[in-house]
Amino acid sequence: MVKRNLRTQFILAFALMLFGFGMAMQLRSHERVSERLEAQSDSDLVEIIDTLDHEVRVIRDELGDTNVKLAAFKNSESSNQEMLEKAKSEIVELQQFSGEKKVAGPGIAIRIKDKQHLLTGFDLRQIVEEFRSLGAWAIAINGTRLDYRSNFYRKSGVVFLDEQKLKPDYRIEAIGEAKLLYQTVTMARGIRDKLNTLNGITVKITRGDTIELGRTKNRSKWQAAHNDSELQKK
Amino acid sequence: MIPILGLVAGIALGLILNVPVPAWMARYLGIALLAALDSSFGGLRANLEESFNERLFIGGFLVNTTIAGLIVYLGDNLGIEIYLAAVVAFGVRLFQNLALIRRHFFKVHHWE
Repeated sequence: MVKRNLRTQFILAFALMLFGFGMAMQLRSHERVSERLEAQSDSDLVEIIDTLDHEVRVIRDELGDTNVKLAAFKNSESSNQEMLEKAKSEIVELQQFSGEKKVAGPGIAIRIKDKQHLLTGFDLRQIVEEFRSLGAWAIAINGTRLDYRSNFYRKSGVVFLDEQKLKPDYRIEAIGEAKLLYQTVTMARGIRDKLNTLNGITVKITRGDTIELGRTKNRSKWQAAHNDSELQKK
Repeated sequence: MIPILGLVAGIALGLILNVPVPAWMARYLGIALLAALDSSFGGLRANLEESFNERLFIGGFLVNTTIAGLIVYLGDNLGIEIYLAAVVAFGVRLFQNLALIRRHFFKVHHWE
């Protein structure tokens, strides 16, 4: 019994020794920190506070810089979006201008009756050139949309436009400034007067707020011209 | 008497060796010390009541100190001061054990 009690006491002593050891370690460490702080003179403490203030300022500056960068990044993102939208709209405009897309707008329509088949491709081309010089955006003859490569030719007494047969009556439609187009066509010694002088030809001109023109047909593959980068490759 | 000598020896050893405790470990050691103190008082009480069990004591001592440290670690990581729960629990038990030890002495010395 006494032996068991002694062993218990030793176990408790060992546990308390561990506790005491830990407590002493903790006390010493705590004292060391306190001493270190107490050892600092007023000027040292001021310096420490100053250093901490400086660090706070540096961190605030960095935060400000980061916010500025973030704002710049957001702006560039929105300007990229704007550029993309602008590019898309330019592509659509170019497609409309080159005849790859249907278009609609104000303009004029000329109906030419040619009972004796007097008109040639040259005559039609002259009318088209007149419209182009007046700034027409889109032109079509008998529903065939013209583009920058369109050509007229006459074969066996028949006029062809981009391999499409053109038969009278001719209907020439142009989208642009309707008033300007109309006035130019109808002015004295203008297209109307010139055509009217020809035998068997009658001309009817109408202005419209919405003239619809389809896309070009029979587009041939781009062959003749190449851009700079393609030329350099060759 | 022997346990008190053990305590004194431990304190003396700690003061002499002067082992530095890193700042981050201070809280862990603090709560572990509280757990160790609680277990030690529990052991003293059990010894006075003649119900001391070595295995229970050693197991309790080790498990309590370890779990106390883990609670502090968990609290630090969760941002909740869970260690307060351990402090309260160990503190209450400590005073209960102290009260029982005191009563035992009163009884032995017929001071009641």
